[in-house]
Amino acid sequence: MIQEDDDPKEYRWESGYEKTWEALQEDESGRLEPSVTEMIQRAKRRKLLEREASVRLGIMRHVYLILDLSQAMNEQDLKPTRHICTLKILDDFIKEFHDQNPISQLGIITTQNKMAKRHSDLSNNPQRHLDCIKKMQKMPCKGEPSLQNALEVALSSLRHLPPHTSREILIIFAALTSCDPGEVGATLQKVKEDNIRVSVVGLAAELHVCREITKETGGSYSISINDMHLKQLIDEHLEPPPASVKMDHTLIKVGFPHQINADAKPALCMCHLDDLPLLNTQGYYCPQCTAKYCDLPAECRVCGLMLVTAPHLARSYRHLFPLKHYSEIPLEESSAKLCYGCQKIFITGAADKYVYKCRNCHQVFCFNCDIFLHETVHSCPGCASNPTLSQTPSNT
Amino acid sequence: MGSEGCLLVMVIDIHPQLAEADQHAHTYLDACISFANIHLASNVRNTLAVIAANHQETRFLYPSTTEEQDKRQKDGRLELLGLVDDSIERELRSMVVDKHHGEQTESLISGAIGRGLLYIKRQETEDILSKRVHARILVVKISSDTGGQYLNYINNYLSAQKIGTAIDVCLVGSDCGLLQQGADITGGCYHCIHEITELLQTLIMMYQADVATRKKLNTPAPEAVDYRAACFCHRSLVDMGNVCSNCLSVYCKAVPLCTTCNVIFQTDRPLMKIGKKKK
Ligand SMILES: [Zn+2]
Ligand SMILES: [Zn+2]
Ligand SMILES: [Zn+2]
Ligand SMILES: [Zn+2]
Ligand SMILES: [Zn+2]
Ligand SMILES: [Zn+2]
Repeated sequence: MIQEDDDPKEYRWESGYEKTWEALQEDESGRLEPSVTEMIQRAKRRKLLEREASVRLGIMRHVYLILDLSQAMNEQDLKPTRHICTLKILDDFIKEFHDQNPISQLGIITTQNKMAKRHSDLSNNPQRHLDCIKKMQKMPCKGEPSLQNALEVALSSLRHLPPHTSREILIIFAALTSCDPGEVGATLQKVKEDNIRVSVVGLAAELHVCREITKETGGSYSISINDMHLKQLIDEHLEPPPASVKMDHTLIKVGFPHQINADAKPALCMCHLDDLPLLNTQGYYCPQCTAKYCDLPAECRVCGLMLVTAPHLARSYRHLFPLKHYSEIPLEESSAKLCYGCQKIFITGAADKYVYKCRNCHQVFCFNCDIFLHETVHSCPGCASNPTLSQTPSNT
Repeated sequence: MGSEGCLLVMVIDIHPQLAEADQHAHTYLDACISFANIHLASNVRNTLAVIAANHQETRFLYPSTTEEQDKRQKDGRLELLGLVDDSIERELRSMVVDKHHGEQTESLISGAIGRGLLYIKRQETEDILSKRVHARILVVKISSDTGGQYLNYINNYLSAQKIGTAIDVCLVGSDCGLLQQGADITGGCYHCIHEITELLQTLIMMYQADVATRKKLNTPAPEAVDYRAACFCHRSLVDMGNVCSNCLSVYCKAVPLCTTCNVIFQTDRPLMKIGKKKK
């Protein structure tokens, strides 16, 4: 049902693909696949380019997912149903969200039968949300959703957060109506005052009320065409949004817990108290109160300290110091015979029409390496292999 | 998994400090090359890449690209082993000759790992129709680290974790927390030996089995990994610190402004995010 996002066939909606047949070329073995893949890669690169400017970001995010579980989710335009398909996408989203935003928190709210319910509170523990998503697969979708009620529920929890956090709401909405107890405008006003950014991903058609909400709060609004597109739209919210001007900056106290050491006594972990875990010595100890956790990041339940490891913080550095873009140059103009990274020998003509040169270390990379470095690695191996450049992050 | 073969990317540190004791360099390189050969010989489908790093550069020793490889192979296996030896020796020699004595800083291991990852990534995309490539990286390191490449290392570790590639680390000399983190994050194995003469034996005992097979072996339990962060102000490791909410710089004590991103902190409110300590 849901495939990897680089499945070539699924990208029809991408603009700029008109007359795609003219660009298609067979490779040596007569396959069309590589050139289709190449077009997708180009679209990817364009997208990465847009992201360049390093504005201030709301790194510390608090996001509420509002999921429409009304009757409209039973439609089968997404396979097997909108309900199951969306939950599957959210499952991936949650994992990836916590991976890319280790010091951020997520919460889940659903709306059906004209009511809204909070299913999982804001937390940085992905497992809790994943369990919640799993339970929702068995929940019947019924009645009408209520945007206003759902926004109020999210608002009641987000408004108390400290002012240096980025407060966000992501609504996934399938219905074409919303059954609200009062004027949505009043709630919207409160949302706006509290500096919350609301984005909506629609499954059906554009709604005026959603357009209004997103416009007023600085969020984004998009309508999905199919399952792949839906995944793409939801995944766009993995990246932290630009920081709002009203956001404060402060110092946040964090703890870097120790892993087990030999003289530790077997203890219960605080994160799985409910499941009666076995006593053991493995885990991470809060440096302030020595409560034990089996996984990080976590927020200490005893003393409230945010517990992270240095790599967790480093994981977020890539949003702040993105790797500078390489310049695209025609192969003929470059002296390099092969890719500095993967050692692929450049072939004049078809595949390697353009090569990519780092503006700091001047090493030349092939197309695939360029994408992989900017999408996943976020640091340049050429700069890292240079005695002077390696000591300063290549990104700044 | 065994029959499918495995791509081993060796990252070898050839820091000039090797040359300080005569016999050392020889024993060290011999051990690395022998291990590469053992890897190739143990399964016909196994493949190899060797990248060397010193304080000046990183370089692919094998497969070599500086010379045409048109020595025709007659009977496969042994010829290939010979080719590996030739290629590694030739490249190493030119790398050592090339060295213009600058300041002797740390070896550029993170650059070599980065290139190794790209090499693995390419093998994976090219072999997409056949099978998943089982790849792992083995870092053999002798020189010490100053932490200057921190971000590069971490970025490599997280990418390796993402593409499911383990980074094994074998240190000769003293422990290195940063590389230990790498092995821990990517599911590789970390070991530190003190004598160069133990190297070959250790490589064979600890690092020859692929990651899946290792689970069946009774290897020593991993030691606790130190995941503390170094503060930006004094570069000392801290248990608890203050983090800038804008750029995540770590400070060991409260500061009025962030020296990395120049934001001024609101001091009129409590400094802690979850300030409501339950007392
Ligand atoms: Zn636990
Ligand atoms: Zn605590
Ligand atoms: Zn490449
Ligand atoms: Zn570079
Ligand atoms: Zn300090
Ligand atoms: Zn800062």
